[in-house]
Amino acid sequence: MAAVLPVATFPARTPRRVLPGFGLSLGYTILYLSLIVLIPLVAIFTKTAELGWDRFVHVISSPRVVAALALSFGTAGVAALFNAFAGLLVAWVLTRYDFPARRLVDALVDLPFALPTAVAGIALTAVYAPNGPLGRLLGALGITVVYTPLGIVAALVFIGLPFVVRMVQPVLEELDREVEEAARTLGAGPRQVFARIVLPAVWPALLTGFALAFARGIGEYGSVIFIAGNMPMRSEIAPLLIVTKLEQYEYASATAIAVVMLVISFVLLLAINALQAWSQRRLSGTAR
Amino acid sequence: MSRVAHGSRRLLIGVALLYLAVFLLLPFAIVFGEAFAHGVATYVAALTDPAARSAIVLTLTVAAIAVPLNLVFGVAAAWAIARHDFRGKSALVTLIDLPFAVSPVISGLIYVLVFGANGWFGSWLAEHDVRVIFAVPGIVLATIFVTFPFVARELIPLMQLQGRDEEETALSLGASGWQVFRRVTLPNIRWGLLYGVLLCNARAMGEFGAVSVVSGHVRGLTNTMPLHVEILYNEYNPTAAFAVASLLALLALVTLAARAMLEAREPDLRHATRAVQVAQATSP
Amino acid sequence: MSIAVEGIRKRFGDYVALDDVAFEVQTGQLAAILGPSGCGKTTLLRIIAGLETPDAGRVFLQGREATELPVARRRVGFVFQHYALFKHMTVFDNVAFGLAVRPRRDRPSRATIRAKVEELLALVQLEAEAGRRPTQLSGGQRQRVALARALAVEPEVLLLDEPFGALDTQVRQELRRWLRRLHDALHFTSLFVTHDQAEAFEVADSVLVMSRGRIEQRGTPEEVYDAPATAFVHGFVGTTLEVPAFRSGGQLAIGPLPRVADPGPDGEVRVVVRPEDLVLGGVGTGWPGRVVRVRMVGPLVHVDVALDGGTGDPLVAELPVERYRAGPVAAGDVVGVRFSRYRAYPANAHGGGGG
Repeated sequence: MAAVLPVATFPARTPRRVLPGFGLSLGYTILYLSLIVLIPLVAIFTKTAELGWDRFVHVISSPRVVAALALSFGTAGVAALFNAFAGLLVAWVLTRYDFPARRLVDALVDLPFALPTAVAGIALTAVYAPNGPLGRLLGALGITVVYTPLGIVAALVFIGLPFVVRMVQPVLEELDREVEEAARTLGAGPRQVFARIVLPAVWPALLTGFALAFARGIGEYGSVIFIAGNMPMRSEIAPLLIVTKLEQYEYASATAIAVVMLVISFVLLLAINALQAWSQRRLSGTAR
Repeated sequence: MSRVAHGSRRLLIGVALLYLAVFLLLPFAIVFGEAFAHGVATYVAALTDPAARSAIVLTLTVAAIAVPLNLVFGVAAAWAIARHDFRGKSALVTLIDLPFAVSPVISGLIYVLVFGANGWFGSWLAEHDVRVIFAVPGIVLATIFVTFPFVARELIPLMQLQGRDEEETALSLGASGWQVFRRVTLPNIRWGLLYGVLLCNARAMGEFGAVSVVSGHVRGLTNTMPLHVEILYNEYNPTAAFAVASLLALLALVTLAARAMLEAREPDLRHATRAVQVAQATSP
Repeated sequence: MSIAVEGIRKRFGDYVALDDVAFEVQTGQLAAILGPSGCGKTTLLRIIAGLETPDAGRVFLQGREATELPVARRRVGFVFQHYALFKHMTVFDNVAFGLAVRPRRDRPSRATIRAKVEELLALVQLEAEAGRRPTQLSGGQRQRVALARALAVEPEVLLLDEPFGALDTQVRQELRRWLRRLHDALHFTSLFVTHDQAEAFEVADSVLVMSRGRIEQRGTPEEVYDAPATAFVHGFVGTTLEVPAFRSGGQLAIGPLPRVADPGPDGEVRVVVRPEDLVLGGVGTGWPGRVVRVRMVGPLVHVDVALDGGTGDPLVAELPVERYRAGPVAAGDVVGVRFSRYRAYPANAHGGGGG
């Protein structure tokens, strides 16, 4: 074999791809993504730009808009917090205990994901109506759910439950039982084990689940509008206000509210991505 | 196990099951209860009503267009992302997720802004007498948007989990690109693909907010099943509304059952999909 | 020659995986690339197969340049570490794959394919498993299916990535010998990657030792073991004992031992010795030391000796039982230590002893 040639005589090669179809598949992906998602989303920002800064501020600071945004964020936050506790409990029971029909219950947790929102909306209204099974019970206690912000929370609790369960469940499954047993042998009681071993391990996943449920709650429409009553300033959520503005041909106003919600959603999406990366790092760090 | 631990175990299981029964199962069950509240005849009548029938047909049509388009996209995106390395890959994955982060109402709104009377192409479309908004094409577009990431998000982690070894082996044995895809990749991802299609389809048929914004609610023409449910409900015809809703609830049940069966069959799917599912459900 | 590469370079970001690598494997040889994990050996194998593109350099297969040739046209058989069997196909279909995907005009008839696959399955002793799926097989059986599948397309060279890495010790021993016999029977050119020196020495005709993206040495197993080119190779292919030494005026001084002529620059020198090359004699026959411990380890006796003025841990001499019986020592004895063989390397070269 000839002496090794100096590397400088070889021009830097562009890597040849081993598996074929890269250009075609990536090109199609980007084209389709642009046509369906990116370009239409840009429309919302250009439309808002037409509005001008002053009008934009004027629209989004009007009392009705502020009330709707506050209601959407407030109810989403309360519901997500409730789901953080309920979801952790359900995930714990599903991973730690064996009981009849556990697999069936496990599958049913996803019901809110699978059930169309309009169906959930009318069903929840029927359940919580004054003559409905739960509404009658709560009415006896003097609590009205339908056509109040409480109804919105009830709908978002239904919608958001699977998020926390499905985020926390795999972490609990991967958690090394021996670590808990080691803590027990060192004298920790069940509560201490939970507080010092389990909770720190599931914390990132729990937070991610909360953030997902929260993000979903802000934008939720179908399951809420039936039960909310939709009274301006009281039980009118931001997505509904967008629809109302659209029906009144106030496109600019509708778009301005949408921009506020979109920006917040994107920030949340990035936060959730970061949280998930953190959660996965923690998980892979502890499990392997 | 100590008696105390046993007691708390029962208590926790009891509380969790009661919670799920009241908050999950009760709303689901009430759909069927209300649907049959006035007997089977009323139920059948509500479903065979011409407006209901045209809503069912439209829903099936929309899903039949949106799902295959997103299927092709999902496979292409997964092939590019899980089988090749390139700059900006993680940004692309985030962009594919974008529709999950957008409120359904806004998903409809963006198409109104592009194709509506005052939109970018509004006057051009009007001149050529093409209707997108308040017509079937708008409904299809909005449905594609909200179900956009499902198949891709299902396949990407699955294919990443499976690795490239099998495809590379097939290449070294002389297979062409198409042969590698059809004989090695496709058989390996078929269950994941089916799974993604199921979820995509369930969402496509059940989408309400986005479709509501672009539909115009023309009964018999631009009403999908979820929109028809709303109209009936608002017309104080709850029994008929729940009758149509019961079909959608049944679809949800079938989807969940099929999913459970697929997971039992392919344990790999469970891990790949659980994480994905959370991401895709970010969408309202 | 069957396989040749020259000037191969490959970086992954800032990490240099391969730095100007060149070597060749003669036709019909069974060669091993030996190195610790992360030394770039798998990347090199993948570049030869066409599964990875080098940043610079050229690959020749059967004397023809193959650098730009796509993997499907290189006529290489590649066996992955974890076999990469097609999970959804039977063993039979796995082996038949390479023939079944040929363009119609080159494709053998079904009967021919069947005969060929059955012949290969007989060769790897898996006739009975033809209808099974990969998940129903043991690790060793999967390995053999992967081999049969690679051989079905009659490759000009066979590349194997850690072929025995995923198997338990017992199966690994059997498969090594089996692979060697198979190679001798079929006479293809093979190159395999391993981090296990015993595996490389037992199976291969020639060994390439790699470290940090470079080839440290190439040669027969004997050459590599007896005359390691660098301190790294010495440490990697066997147990290495290190003794302090320095050179001045062309003379090498190892402790109090008589100086020997050894041309080279003045200064510290790394002298390394194999445990079997330590010779223990009476006081005055070598470097004085005290026996710390004596242990029987199977057919060998390990004698720990603390050298006078030696730094660090005692040296462990390994002698065959008969030699030990000829001159037994016990803990506390004072002995003289000589080295029947040693190698001297510059003190600042990279690579550790140990091993």
